[in-house]
This record gives sequence, structure tokens and C-alpha cells, in this order.
Amino acid sequence: MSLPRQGEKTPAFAVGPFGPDDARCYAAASGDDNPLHVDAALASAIGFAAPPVHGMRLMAAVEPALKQWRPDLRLTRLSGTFAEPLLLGEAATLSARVLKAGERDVLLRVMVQGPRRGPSLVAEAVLEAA
Amino acid sequence: MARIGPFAVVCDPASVVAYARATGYEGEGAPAAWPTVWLTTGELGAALRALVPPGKALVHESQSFVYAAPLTVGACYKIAATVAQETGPDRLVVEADATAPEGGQTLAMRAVLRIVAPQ
Repeated sequence: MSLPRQGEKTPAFAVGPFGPDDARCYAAASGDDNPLHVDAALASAIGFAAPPVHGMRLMAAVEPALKQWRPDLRLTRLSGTFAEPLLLGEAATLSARVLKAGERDVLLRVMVQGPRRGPSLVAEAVLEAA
Repeated sequence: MARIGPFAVVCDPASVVAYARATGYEGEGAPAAWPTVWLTTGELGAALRALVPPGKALVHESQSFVYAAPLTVGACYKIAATVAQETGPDRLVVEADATAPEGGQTLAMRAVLRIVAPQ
């Protein structure tokens, strides 16, 4: 088994679009019951065209995508910062690139990009042999 | 900085299944992001909610998970956290370590949670 090389890129993976049922399902599963993520009227009142997707829902999309790319590798570290909100109904794309390749693991920069200029998630992930 | 815990937590099978279903995870074991559930439920979740003023809510700004070993679904862990309360803007910075019963850190996680008024 060979690890990905520095500079190698994953395919682009579709993330979303998420609907209200998805938001409610994630809220129930995660325990994150902030009404902003499920209440369209509340989101509208503070200037969003639709409720923003839970940031952690975007981060949770990283592992399945990387597993689809390299099922022989295991995620051991995942960190990320949530930037531009992704709103319900908006599609996004997840992509990653190997920043550093070691003998046992690789470090990737992962981005989830929605329709706005800035990314919705900027993350780093470490994969190692499963 | 406040210390919270340690508390006993479980890598709850039903919760893992629900989270996996909600996030499209089809792998074995718990999704890497699943332990975010520990921040919202149980004693740790209650301790964090107690730090949020009435009428306000928490929004994730950043999150990290560093695994020394995968979680075992159904297993019990101890989780201990420190919480720093920041102002301007108001945030909670939570650093939590989960250890297996036989000792040894399994997971370190860090969450930066913005305190917002959702309305």
C-alpha cells in the first residue's frame, strides 16, 4: 500500500444541498439544538436568506469523502474552522490536497466551498494506514 | 479557566448510528466527528450550557479531534475538560480529553464556541 504523494488532490465531492429535514435530523443526532439552524423565520430576522447549515455537519462530510477516496486509510486527526455560512438549499463542493506526506501518514488541507467567495470550511486531516 | 469533570461518558451505539445516518457515514465504528455529541449531551453538555446566558446559544467557530486510538462503540470513557471564557466576542474555548477505562488518552478535542443571541 502506498500513501498519497505531496500535492496529490482528491476528486471533488458534492456536499449538500441540505434541506430542512436534513437540518432537523442533524440537530437531533448531534444535540446541537440552536434554533438558528432550523428556523427559517429566525434566520431571516438576522439577515440570512435561509438557515445556515450546522458547521459540524460540513466537518462530518470530510471523513466519508476521504474514505471514498482512499478506503485503505484511517482518519486520525481532523480540525477545521467554519468561515462563510452555507445556507440550506445551497450546494457545496469538498476537495482536498496533500500538504505533507510522511512515511506513515499524510496531512491534507480540506476545503468545503459553497456559492460565496469564501470557503464554508477550512480543515486539515491526517490519514494513516488503517 | 474552569475545570469540568471528569465525567463518565459512553460511545453510545444508538447515538453513533443516528449520527452516522445524519451525516452519510458508512464506515465501521464511530465517525471521527461523532464526539461532538459529548459537548451537547450528558454532564459535560449540561456544564457547558450552564455557562451560556439565558436567551443565547452556542455556534461552532472551530473544532478539532486528535485520536490516539479509535473509539470503541459501546465502550465507556472518562472525559475531563477545561473551559476558558473569552470576551469580545464572547466565546467558550473547550479542551476535552477522553480516556479509556484502562487509562491512556484516546481522544483530545478542542472546540471554540461563539456565544450568540439567535434573535
